[in-house]
Amino acid sequence: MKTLSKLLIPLIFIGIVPLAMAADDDLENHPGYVDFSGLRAIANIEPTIEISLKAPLLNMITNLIRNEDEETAAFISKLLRVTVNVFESSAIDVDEVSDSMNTIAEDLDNQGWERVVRVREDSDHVDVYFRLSADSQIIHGIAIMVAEPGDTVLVNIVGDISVDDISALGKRFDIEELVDIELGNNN
Amino acid sequence: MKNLILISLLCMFTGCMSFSDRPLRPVARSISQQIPEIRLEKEFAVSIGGGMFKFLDVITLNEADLSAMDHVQLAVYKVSKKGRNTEIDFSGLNFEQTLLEKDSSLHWDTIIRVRDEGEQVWVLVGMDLKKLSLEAVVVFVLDQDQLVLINVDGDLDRMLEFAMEPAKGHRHRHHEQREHRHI
Repeated sequence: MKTLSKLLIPLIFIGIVPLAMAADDDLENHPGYVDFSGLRAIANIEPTIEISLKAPLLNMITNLIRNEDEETAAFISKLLRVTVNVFESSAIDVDEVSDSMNTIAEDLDNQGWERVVRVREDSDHVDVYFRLSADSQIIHGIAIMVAEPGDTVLVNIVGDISVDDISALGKRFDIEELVDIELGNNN
Repeated sequence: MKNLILISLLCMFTGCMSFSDRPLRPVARSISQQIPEIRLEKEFAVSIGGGMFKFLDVITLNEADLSAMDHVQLAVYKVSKKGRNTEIDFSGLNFEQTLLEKDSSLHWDTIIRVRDEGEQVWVLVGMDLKKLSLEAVVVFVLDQDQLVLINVDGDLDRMLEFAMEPAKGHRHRHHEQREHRHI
């Protein structure tokens, strides 16, 4: 029995590790994924807070709340990864971060991301982008970049979220702005 | 009668509690193996078993629904580092691998990492991917030269459901208030 388990464990490991790595590769190729590593001003600073919700946990939450709240469960089930990075440091040069954010924003524009919010006020910079499908019915990704003195927040939500899902979520949580949301060229 | 109750309670509590770090030792061992220059020395440990939570549920009339928890284990270690540079750095530590030493049947994921001045926190969840259930939550807190490990395991799905209840009620209440205002 011990010999069997000795043989099985490496076999399971060999089977699971490439699958897990392939899943990560797939995510990086997903149209909604954003690589924020280009933000050179914070390249040498580690985030103060990192939140990373991956597919297994999101699936589990979906499963958990399906009976209680079908609409929210439907929304969460479409998510593949939620990443939040918060950098809190007075050593961060907000102008440099803003410059880098502009570069990333330009890249997102070129890649076909849709700019939803842009704020440039004193030293506060906010950019919110949606990556829409060709027919503008699916949101493949949401990218949020916020920079203000002492704080930088980067959010990337990857998934395949439909407008109906967002609208249902808006109804569920009483967020009127989301209830009648329309995207892309269908406005 | 009073003595009998006291003796039963004492037996129950001592049976449900221990002051050993044994359940978390594989984790501490794995950390020491991955960072050989550090040494972990147990300062305090407590492990609380399911019986205690069932008892708490009884006395709180099931308000907290703690019986879903099987164990809560807490251990505090003093971390010392050999060599000239005494700064303790866990950034190279593979936490998922560390927790596989504790329970290899679960899929471990770091969901939160916090770096504060002199303090770092990692929150990991252990999931059963076949059952799609949350089986364990482990928190690592590195505060200067002290490492706190907290492990909670059990039917955490039930705990989550319970935790979501008030929010759900609140949302409905908010909605009802708005409806009322419209009327």
